[in-house]
Amino acid sequence: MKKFFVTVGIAAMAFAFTACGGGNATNSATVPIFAADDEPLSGNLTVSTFDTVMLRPFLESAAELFTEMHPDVTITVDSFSAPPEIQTIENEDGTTMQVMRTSEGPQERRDYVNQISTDLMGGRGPDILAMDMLPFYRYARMGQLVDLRPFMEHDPNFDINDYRANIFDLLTTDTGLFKFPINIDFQYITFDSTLFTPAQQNALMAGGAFTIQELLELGSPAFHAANEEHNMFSMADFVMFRHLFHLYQNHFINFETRTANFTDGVFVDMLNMIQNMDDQGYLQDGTFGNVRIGGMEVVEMDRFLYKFNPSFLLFQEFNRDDPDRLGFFMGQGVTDDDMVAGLLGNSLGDVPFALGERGGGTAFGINSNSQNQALAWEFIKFLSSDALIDLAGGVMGIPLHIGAFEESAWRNASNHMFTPRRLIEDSGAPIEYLELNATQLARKQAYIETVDGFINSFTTFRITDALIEEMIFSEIGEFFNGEISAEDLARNLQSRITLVLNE
Amino acid sequence: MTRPVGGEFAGLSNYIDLLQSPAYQLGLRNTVVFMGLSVPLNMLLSLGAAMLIKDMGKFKPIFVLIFLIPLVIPSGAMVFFWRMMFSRNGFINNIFDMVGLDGINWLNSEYAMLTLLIIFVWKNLGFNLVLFLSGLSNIPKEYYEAAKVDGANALYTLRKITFPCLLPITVIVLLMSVINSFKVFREVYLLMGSHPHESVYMLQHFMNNNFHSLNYPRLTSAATLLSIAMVVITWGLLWLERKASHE
Repeated sequence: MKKFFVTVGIAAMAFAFTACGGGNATNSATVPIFAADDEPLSGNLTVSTFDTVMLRPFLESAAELFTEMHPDVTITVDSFSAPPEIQTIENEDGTTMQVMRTSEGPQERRDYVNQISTDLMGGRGPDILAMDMLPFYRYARMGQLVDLRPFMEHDPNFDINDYRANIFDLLTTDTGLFKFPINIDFQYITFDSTLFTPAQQNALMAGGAFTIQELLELGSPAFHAANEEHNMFSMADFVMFRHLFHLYQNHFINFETRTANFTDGVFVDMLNMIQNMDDQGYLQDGTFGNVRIGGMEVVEMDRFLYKFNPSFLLFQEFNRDDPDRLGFFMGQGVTDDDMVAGLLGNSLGDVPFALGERGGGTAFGINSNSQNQALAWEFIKFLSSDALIDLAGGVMGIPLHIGAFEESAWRNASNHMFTPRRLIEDSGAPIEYLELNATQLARKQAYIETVDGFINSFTTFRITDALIEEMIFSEIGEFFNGEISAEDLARNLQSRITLVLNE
Repeated sequence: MTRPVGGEFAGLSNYIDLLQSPAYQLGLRNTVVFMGLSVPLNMLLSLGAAMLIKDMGKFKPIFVLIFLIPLVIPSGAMVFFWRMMFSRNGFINNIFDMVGLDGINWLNSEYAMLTLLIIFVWKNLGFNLVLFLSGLSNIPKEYYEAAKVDGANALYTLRKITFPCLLPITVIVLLMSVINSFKVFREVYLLMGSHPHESVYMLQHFMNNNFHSLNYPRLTSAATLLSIAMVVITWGLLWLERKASHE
């Protein structure tokens, strides 16, 4: 009996000492696709997103349209974040306004990632994952996402020339393309033309990307010439840090080689530069994104030399003289005289962009456990197509499908941002209502050319890792409060992030 | 390290990958260092406290009670207290400031290990103290009386009577201290998060974080090695305890 237990024990040990690894998730020779256009689609799909406010309604509407076209398909959309609460608040003058409050926090986001991760590792999980919160590069590294390149190469109904191919190229690594981008968001810079000389304006309108040093060189004389009456930037020190950190992130962190590089002096120089900008009075205390209701009028009348704007505002730069245009107030002061400068780049020559994972834009991946990969691919293609530009959720980012982008440019130019063209056509409105006049066409053309220039300027893709960002942004406060030196912070981050990358 | 689910047979590659991982090596080194420091320190202090308390007569239960209080306070509640004590603007740094000393970053520097040792000793001293008290009370008084008659001094009595008679209970205390030293992760995690300063990054951090980052092959390999290490340590200590009891 003793021998029996010893033998069983040794066998158990041997079993424990060996384990499973895995191969590539997608074999390009056996990529599952629906080959013909007229091949009927069928099956069940599940799609998961964190975002209940924007992405879920978009996906539900898209699923409805898709299942109308393919009655044998059923699509279930799940989301995780709590629905927003609508609250009515009373202003000081007795008027009321409705405010939408969301309760999502870091814990809720972590819970979502944990839930999806556990499902994936258990061999389950939704067929399609919206990459709005999930750590796609970790999933890709663990083989939990399907490489989409074979689908793109073997699908006769897919043509990369219908899309912004350079974005796909930048997203593709040596191991594959693991998320399919639908639309993109980025920040662009505008300047207040009344605060610059014509020569300075020409320099700012030369196109391309600007480093923060170049903006300061051009802006400092204007800032001091006006006796510092106007503001340089509309953001606080920590927001400026966020922008600059994202610009240099690929220099600081290499996710592929799992190395961190915070101690070569670039990070310290960056922190000192922000500190210096703060000392010079170039930065604000919590204006952008942190506007108090009572302070709105003051901020509204202020002038800022530079503003960083989200890309969904870009069309506003071309239709300022249109009385019917839709306006967005971003708490960045007077915008009437703003002109577009370009994108923000870093001094190393990089112009990075992010996608999903809270970096803006929308992208989807296919679960490698999915039994419906061909159907999932069809639905993702549908999500990216111009068929969906009518859905409100699809118009906020800049579509990467060229047809969809053209359609969104038309919607902006015609001031029909939230009215589907189909509805206008169905309503029997006169054709003039749908056709652009010469001014609108010119605006549309200028917008398209600007977006083309911006998207072609991107040189690199920036991975967003929520854990690393949380770590960095929670420590940066200590530097701005004077509790830690730039060098000590750089050393701390070097060791902690190296650890995270190597786990 | 690739797909754990539905993948291919990987042989020993997960273990090789694990042992080559700098994060695993760091966690292992810190765990061993912490165990090497905390276990002897805790045993010495609790033995010293037990020997001081054992002859305190009617005050003995009060002191035992005081030392046992940390055992019954939930770790989650204590974290707020420790954070108040050790944070950058905490109580200890305020005292330093009052006497003109520079504050110390207790939770995010090399001092984090010292902070952890203080918390560990505070938490576990009472338990070991009770065990040592019971061991001390089991030593027959006649031994000490005979030694006194023979003219033995206190140090000689300690070396020749107290320590040998306490050996079985010492092994138990050692075993419990080793086990408790592994349980310190709860406090570190609550106080310093999933990625603390590198000096207090433990094996449990490594395993916990690998669970969250989906690296199950690495996680299970680390758990298997840890289980084997624990079995060997426990078996060794129990063998020592049996040997001590027979002597």
